[in-house]
Amino acid sequence: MRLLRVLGPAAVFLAALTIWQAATAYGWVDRLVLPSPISVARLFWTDPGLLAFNAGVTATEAIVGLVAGNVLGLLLAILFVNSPISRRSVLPVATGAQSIPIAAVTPALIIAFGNGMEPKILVTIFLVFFPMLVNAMRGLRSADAEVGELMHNLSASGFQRLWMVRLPAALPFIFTALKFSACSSFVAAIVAEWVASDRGLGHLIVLASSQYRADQVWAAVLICTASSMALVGLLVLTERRAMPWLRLSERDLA
Amino acid sequence: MKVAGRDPRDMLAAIFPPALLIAALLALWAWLSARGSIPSYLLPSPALIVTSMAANGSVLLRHGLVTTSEALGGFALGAVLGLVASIVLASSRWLRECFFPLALASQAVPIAAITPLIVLLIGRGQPAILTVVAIGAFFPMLINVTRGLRAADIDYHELLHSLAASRLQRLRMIELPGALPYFFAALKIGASLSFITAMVGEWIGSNVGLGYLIVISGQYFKIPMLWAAVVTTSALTLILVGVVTLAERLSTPWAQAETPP
Amino acid sequence: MKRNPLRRLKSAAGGVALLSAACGAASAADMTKLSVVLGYIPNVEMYGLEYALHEGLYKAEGLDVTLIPAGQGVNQVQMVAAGVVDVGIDNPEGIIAAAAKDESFKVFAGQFQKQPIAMTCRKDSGVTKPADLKGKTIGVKTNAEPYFKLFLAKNGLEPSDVTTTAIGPNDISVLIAGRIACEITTFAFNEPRLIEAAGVPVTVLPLGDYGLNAQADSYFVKNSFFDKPENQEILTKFLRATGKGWVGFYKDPKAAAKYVVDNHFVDGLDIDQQTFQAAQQVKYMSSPLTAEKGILWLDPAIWRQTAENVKASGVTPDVVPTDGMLTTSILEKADLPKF
Repeated sequence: MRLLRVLGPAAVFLAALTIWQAATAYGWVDRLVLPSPISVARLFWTDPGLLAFNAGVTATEAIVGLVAGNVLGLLLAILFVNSPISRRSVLPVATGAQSIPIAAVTPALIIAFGNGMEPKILVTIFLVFFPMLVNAMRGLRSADAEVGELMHNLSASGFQRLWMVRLPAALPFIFTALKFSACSSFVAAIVAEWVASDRGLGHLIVLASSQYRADQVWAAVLICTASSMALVGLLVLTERRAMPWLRLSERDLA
Repeated sequence: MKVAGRDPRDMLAAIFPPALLIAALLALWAWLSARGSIPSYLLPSPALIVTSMAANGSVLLRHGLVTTSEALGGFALGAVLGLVASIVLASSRWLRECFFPLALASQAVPIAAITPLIVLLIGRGQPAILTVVAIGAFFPMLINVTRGLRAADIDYHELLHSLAASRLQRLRMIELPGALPYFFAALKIGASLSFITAMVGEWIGSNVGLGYLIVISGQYFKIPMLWAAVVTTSALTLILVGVVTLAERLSTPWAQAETPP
Repeated sequence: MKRNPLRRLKSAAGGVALLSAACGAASAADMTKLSVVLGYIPNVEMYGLEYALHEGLYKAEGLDVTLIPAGQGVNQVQMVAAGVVDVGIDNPEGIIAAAAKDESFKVFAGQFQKQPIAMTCRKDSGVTKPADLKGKTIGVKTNAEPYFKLFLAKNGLEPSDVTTTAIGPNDISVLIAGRIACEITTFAFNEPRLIEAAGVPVTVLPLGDYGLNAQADSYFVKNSFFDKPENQEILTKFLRATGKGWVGFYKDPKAAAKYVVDNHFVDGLDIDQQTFQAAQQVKYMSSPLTAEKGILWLDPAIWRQTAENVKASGVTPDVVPTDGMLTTSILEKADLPKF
């Protein structure tokens, strides 16, 4: 079973790679838009410094934004669950704020905050925060009503209630949101860099596109994908540790 | 008399606090703009934006409809496909092991990077944007619902197993209802995301839509128009999320019960 | 071009056949199809083509032309290379960069005779020539980075002489806010006008005057397309009709601007800005060469300079030979007006 876990996706992945190579070799897709996988791989060998530097910049923006956004989302969710009035006033407004297309607002952010990493981090926080808020709220309120009654009878404090009942019940939802944000944080940082930046993977993509260096573009995309995947992998491992009971039921349902 | 399962008085109580907050924020904004603390090329005063919206109503409507149809159509397509795919994946361990990790990985690929490719393959215009939005909606739905389908309490599964329930009955009676909260969470996130995806797609592959309008307004420095388009986008996204929330309330009344204090 | 019999049936059902039978003109199925991706959105920059399409000049030549506006992410060179469109209109730097990647294009017309792209500076920064840039802060758009370095080099400056900051592709707010003295690149008559309208007088330094000349909006096709004699015929007809379309612009730029705005080819245009643009644009699209030989003429010397600049800025490893890429054969056959 362990073997299948690795071989299955690996086989599908290899098949996809082969199709990609064939597509570029036989000219089904033009080289200016999609380079061959080999040329992309070669770039890691010939110019690792360029990729590493830009990846580092984007990674910093993404991870800082990820942590800050998720912490903020979780804290607000806890606050809202306990305070119906703040939930009722702020949550709709936060939903509304989330609907603002952040990419359109990024230029204004850059004028206001300068051209360093700050605007990109802000954009990442913005994108990451709301899924966590929504999911965590759902999760915190999904705890069994019966268990809630029990806690009430035992005169449990609000904090005990939070720690012992609501948070554990919310964990699956929280991890779903975390996994989402792991993927979207890199993309958010890159989109913010597209707007105005002189470094980072997003900047590299824009510059390389204009010069038809498709290999650089896709190398950057690859790094973004790999980083997101690494983050998600990390989260999955953490998830297994945090929710051993879920793993058990999953295994039994096989 | 209940409206959509809620007491009208409750609904008023729900609207009042956020309305108050919004009014306060608007007043603050208008005051700051009038003072000159916020330059108007950055963020015009609310009055200026409203005037721009009124003056350009037909343009905004036209482009708004385009973006909405792309967002909705693509979203519906992607969500349905994602739902179907997750039911398929949840039923076969083999398929799940092979494809779920890759589905997760595809989520990590920035949609804006593959949009040019899709535009080249399908051609500029709405079908390409629709495809991009569908792809953007497909994976979150897949991931969330697969999780949801597998999350149902093991006791329920045991019970139905002992009652010799068929696979389909198990699906219908435990897994799907259990997955509903996850489904609606994914739907809400997907709704707002689909608008943004449609707009980013428009930057790249189309010349109509609110995304295009925002870019062109920026280019010609028509800042009030730019923000008018931004506000329109927000409004449309909110309406969509509102509709989803309504649907959620109607289909999962049991999840609405407040946990006792 | 392929003819689809099914299409004939459909158009007959649609009543188009009735119309064309009544008019006696070529029916939809007899016209040759040609798809063209523009250099930009259909504003006054693309006037001649839009006029030719909407006033039936292409139809008169037996061509069924589709004009596709350009956008931000998928560019014209890629579309032509991928075979998505037949003809592309784009800037030489991009065409040359792609040619270095083994794409083979044929350039058959050049709309601008002088580079319309410029560096725009605030008047109060005191910058009127490159030497004045010393010690100033310049806003550089991402795509302009390699060319900015070259601009400095060609005008006796070191990168350390200036401070640069990245700005967005459509941004003029940072200049208006006074955070930067100049920005590069802008259109010579687009952004400056907008900045002045916002209350900030500017000085414009056209890149062509400082060693970075290029024939922007050049018309090109793939070599494989050009090599077929019947396609050369088609291109001649296309260029002839396009040339006729441009006549109104050269005679009366103001009226051309009005035409574009009134016909709503694209949303978001402003009549004042378009009128200003038209008046300036005509100067960049005219030269002794066009007066002598005809509009849209190609100047190999400018192309050679552009290719050298592209190499010097590091975008291509070697200088791409451009003489072979250009052809005046279509220009000669198209009998273009002289302005």
